[in-house]
Amino acid sequence: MKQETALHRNAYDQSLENPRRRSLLLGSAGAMAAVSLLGFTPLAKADEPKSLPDYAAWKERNSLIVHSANTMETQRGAIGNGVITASDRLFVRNNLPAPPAEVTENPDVWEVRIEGVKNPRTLTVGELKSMGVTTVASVLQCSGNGRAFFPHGASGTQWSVGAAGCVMWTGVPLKDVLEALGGPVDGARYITGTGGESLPEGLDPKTIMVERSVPTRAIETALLAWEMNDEPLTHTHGGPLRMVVPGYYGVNNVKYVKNVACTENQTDAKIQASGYRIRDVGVKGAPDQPSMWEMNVKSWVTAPLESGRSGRNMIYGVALGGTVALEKVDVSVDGGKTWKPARFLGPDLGPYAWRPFVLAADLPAGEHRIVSRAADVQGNVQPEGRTDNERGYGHNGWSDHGVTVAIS
Amino acid sequence: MIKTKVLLAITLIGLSGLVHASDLEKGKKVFTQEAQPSCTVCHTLSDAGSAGAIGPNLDELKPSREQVMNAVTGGVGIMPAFNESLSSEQIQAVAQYVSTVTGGQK
Repeated sequence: MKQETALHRNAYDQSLENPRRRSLLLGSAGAMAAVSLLGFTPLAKADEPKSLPDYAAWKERNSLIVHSANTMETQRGAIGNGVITASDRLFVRNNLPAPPAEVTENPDVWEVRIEGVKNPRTLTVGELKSMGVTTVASVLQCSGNGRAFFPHGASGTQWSVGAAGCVMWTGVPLKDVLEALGGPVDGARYITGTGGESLPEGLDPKTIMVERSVPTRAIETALLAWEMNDEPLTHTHGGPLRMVVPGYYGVNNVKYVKNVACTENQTDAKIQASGYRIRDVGVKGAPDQPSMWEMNVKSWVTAPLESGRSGRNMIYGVALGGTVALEKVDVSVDGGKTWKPARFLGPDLGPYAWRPFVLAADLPAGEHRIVSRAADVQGNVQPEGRTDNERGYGHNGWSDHGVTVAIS
Repeated sequence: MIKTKVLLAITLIGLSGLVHASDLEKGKKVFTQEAQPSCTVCHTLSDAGSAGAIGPNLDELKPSREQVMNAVTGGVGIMPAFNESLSSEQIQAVAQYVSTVTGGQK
């Protein structure tokens, strides 16, 4: 099947909507509280595509690979050259079921508690909107993007390249909020954000709550965002309010943020203490291991993906530097033997955004292994290989991310 | 002589069928009662009558036996590890059960 290089927007197929399914909640005594059901009916056959769950029903089904109700990635060929990823094809990853859609009906009344400052306060989104505003482009990428390429079968969603997108966030700089409240308390070394999902009974909250700590250097760039790509932040993507930390892995961009605290230590919530840590295969997560914070330099080809005609071919892709600006991207059509510099396509939207790139190449008939290799301005270059780690995080090896294209 | 062979064969088939059924029952028990926190709190599995919505819907995910073994033993994402609270027999039983009833293990 030939992959399209142009982006086709198909009309949302109404027949894909499914009625809400209600079923009795059974389980260990007293365990189940009011956890909202995923309002969709799982399809019986394994080979039929899953439909979109209700909370993401507005998205472009054909641009997504639905792994589960809480995990769906963008098709490799659905990322184009417009820099900004359209909201309806941005990947979705929830660590917990989303709050009910009603939370975004009146976004300005959503409250966030700010602590670990001289004057702690609870602020509404409406109040935040009067305290300052900024618009930032940043790449949202899951820590496990690229996990599918690890051979040891790391547990977790088998993302290939689609758990990543570049979007525009609008919100108040966290710095402005903290300053308005007297600044962080002495000794604060981290910013800790807590998500506002409701947790079921029968589970220790620390084991599942989404609470992440990032170092205070993130205060310079973090924002509390109420808007994505020019529209009020949908609850699909963490609305009405999300703590966005540009250049940091997705998990740190806490959705439905209800608490932000300047803390001396990292939270002991499991998702921080042992989750999202880089360690050797076979080793359990622990707080002394590196946390998935700033993203690494990375790139991948988005077209062509499978086939093409012999002669002049345009090779497209995207590249990112995490929190560091990109220096260049090189492309090879012979699996990495020889390289040519690609050209950046479109405006530079800052160090936290990604940059599409293009290289025109004359391809004779035959099979070609096309790879890309990005370098940032601090001299970091994508490695050829992968760094094996237990959870398959942070894969930026250029070899695994290539594509094999049949030219005829 | 032939009668004995046939009788033996039937007995063996019958026995292996029995073993299989009771293994699934064992696994179901781990899933619905023995694991703490209960698998049912987080997972949807129609055979077990559970509709948990924290973790993946297992009827959808169709995990293989190995996937279940890995996840239950070592944990994955926010799922805790059960290698200390469940015996290896319990873990094997629940892996057999889940992969069988979801069709994950053909």
